[in-house]
Amino acid sequence: MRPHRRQQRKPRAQGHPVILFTIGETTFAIAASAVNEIQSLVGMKAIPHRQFGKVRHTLEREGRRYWVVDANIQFGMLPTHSSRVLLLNESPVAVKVDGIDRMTEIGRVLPLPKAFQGDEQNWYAGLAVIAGRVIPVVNPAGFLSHHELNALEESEIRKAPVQETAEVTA
Amino acid sequence: MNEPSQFVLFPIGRKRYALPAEQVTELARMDYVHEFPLSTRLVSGVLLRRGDVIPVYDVAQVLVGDDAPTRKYYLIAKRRFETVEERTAIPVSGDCELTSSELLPPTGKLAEYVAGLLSLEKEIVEVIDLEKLTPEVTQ
Repeated sequence: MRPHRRQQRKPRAQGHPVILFTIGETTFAIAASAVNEIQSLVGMKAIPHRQFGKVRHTLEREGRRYWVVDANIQFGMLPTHSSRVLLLNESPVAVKVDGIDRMTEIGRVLPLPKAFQGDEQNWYAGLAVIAGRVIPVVNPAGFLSHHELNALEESEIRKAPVQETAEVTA
Repeated sequence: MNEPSQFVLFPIGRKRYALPAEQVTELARMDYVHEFPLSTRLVSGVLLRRGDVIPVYDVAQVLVGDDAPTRKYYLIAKRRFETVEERTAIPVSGDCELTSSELLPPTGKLAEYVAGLLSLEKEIVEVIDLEKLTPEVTQ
């Protein structure tokens, strides 16, 4: 009988689960499926020779290295007090933000207006209206391009033999 | 002599400018501007009107510079992006007026965004070409 009852239920409106995070007084959304984990800033290591201003730290998690993107720099915002890192799913990228607001569902993602001709075309996947507020939905792939990721990975590979030699000498 | 066309005159500070009337869809009261990081020149945020997101172009920065007066209304006008037409909200500082006049070609050293001139009773009004006023340049 149970399966029959289940069939009779009205289908629920399909929403997109998102995580709302804050930087300063601005709230952003990111698809929940794009985030693997949220954690504190503990364990972040400073990068001595920065290739990109927005990547100043790395973070090791379960044997995987993440490049931590400072979201303030990414979005051209003044420095604020960061307390959380979003570890992304599809790439070794983590995003340093002020805090997590909540998880919620959005009905649909509105396309960016064509008038947006700047970097925001890459930053945002679209816009969402949540409780009467327009919230940008970030594009997870917009934090670091393939080119930037490759450059960071290559710099680590170049650095690796030097470190080994130093250890042997010591 | 060309046939007169209709234009919407809008003030920004002491001066009035014009847009072709067919480009203007409505005049709206000041509303909350939703702001978030953007890098497109002149775009200050978006309005949420009847579920639609409308980018706000603060053209006063170009037309009158940093001394732009307090804006009172939004003139909502259409912009074309290749095959897509989109509405944009232009903050203006006072009442707007519909007028019928012949569009005269721009003369002398006028800014590139001046599509033409209207010779009205007491003033010469510049007709603005939004596409040239809001070039796709990032800040």
